Amino acid sequence: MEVEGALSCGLELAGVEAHVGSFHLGPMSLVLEAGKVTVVIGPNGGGKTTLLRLMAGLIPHKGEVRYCGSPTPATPGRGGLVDYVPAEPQADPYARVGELFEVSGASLSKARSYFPELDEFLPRRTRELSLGEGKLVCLLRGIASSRKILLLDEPFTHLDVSRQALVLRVLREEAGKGRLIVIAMHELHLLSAIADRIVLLKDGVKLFDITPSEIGGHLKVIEDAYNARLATIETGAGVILLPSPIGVPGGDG
Amino acid sequence: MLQSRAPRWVLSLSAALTVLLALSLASMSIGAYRKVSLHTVLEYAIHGGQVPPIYVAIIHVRLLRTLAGMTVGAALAFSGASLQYVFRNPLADPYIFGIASGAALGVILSLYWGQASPMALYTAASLGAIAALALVAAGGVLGGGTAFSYIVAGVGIGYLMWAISMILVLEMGPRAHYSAIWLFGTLAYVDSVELRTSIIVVAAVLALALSLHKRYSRLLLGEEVSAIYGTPYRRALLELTVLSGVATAAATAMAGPVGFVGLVAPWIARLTGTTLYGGFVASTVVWGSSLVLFSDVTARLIGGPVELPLTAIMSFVGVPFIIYIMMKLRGSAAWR
Repeated sequence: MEVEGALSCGLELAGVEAHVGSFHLGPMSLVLEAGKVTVVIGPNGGGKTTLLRLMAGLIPHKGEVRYCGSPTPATPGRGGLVDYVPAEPQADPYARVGELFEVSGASLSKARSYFPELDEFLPRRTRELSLGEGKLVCLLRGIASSRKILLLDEPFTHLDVSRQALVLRVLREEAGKGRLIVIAMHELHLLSAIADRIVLLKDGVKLFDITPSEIGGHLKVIEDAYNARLATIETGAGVILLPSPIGVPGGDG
Repeated sequence: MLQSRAPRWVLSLSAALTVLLALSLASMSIGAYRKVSLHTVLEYAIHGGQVPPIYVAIIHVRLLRTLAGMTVGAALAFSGASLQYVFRNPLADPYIFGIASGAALGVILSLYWGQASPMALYTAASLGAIAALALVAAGGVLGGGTAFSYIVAGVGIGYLMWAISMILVLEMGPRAHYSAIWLFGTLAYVDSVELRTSIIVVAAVLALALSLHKRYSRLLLGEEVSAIYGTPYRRALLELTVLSGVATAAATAMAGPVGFVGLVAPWIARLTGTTLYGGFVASTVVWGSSLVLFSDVTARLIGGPVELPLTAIMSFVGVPFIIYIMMKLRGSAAWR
């Protein structure tokens, strides 16, 4: 069985389970491949952030998390393997952007290669940035780190469309270089642009783990999980899901 | 870019050191004995024994006081800087965390029981600060180990210790006067044994904290990301609280609880220099030393039958400064 893990190197969650307050996640098993972007979706409170924090080693859990077949330590960062960008920026409001790169050892030249305007941000304090700018800076810091696994919670919130497009392109490029990327997000319309695999979570339980081409056949499961009706647009690049104003299934719409 | 960081932090520290040098010279040459002027002091420093022995004695007294002021300022500034750093609270200082009140209670208890030797007072202040710190740490951990739980525990325990000190001072009758002055901080009663002990303790704490500067700088990333980069937040919280407590005890044992230094010095450093822990703490320590020297020189200049306590003078500098910071930060997320 270790041989199989070595063939497709990646992160393997075997029967993981965690309690955070009254919330319970799992037990759940998942295999995430290196070089792929896995997107975790699901309604608010479904366990997306908890799953990312578990993968990052930030919360105690049952079960095992293996990387390329070997167990990883259940400590924050899993022994230098994982980087994590939380949904809300947590940086010190007085820290300068350049200092955040410096203390985490993130590569400025790499971040600059993706976002040449970064230099204008480096001397600024994080409290002087807008929500979107702060978010972008935190994402770039994570992207420019040398860690093999990158976990991003809500990377597209607060970003304008051009920066959403930038992040989409950069994450695809990073995955192409072999990085293992996991994203928790609500932007269902971006799924086909970013995801190699889609995991749906509700009430701490995995409802499915599919590829974007399988979305069409799972539409009902997604609608039921969110308790919302979705509109679909078929494009050459895949199905685009949008919230539909028509109404809630089972409602009066 | 990154090279712009070096000049900023160098500039800030150079400015702080220049101010400190000027205030040290002022502290060495200003006092009740006007004849021992800056000229006399420099002549003694350069040519040695060319001045009358009585002048030498006065120079030594002033040197003791100057070094004591710098040590007290460095210790309190270090504590304020470290506490503000880890708690991300602009009001964090040794007072808010009850440590200064604990040290004060230790000294008042010692005086109450008639133990007034320098070493007795020193030991009592250290024990009081450690007791307060232990209570605050226990309260903080019991409350969940969050920044908020430490602050609530610190404010509560600080008030309690301050109340006990006040009751004891009122019970002390004729000795209450000296105790009251001491409760607001003064360098007038420092002796060389206390000074030496405080310098060793403060230097050791500074050396330890600064040797771990990379560990503490990562706190800038926030609780979760700093943990991922090897600095578990709650461990760092406990470490820096304990180090701050030890430094505060060393300062308070010597000079009584001196207010506002730990609050104001980190803000001068933050607004003028780097926020990386090493440079920030170094700059804060120099500004803190300057603030205490400034207050002490002012105390000597104002004169009168009794020297004004340091906290009284610091308040006149500190309060307008804190209001200025509040106005500057109005509406920002940092002021919460």
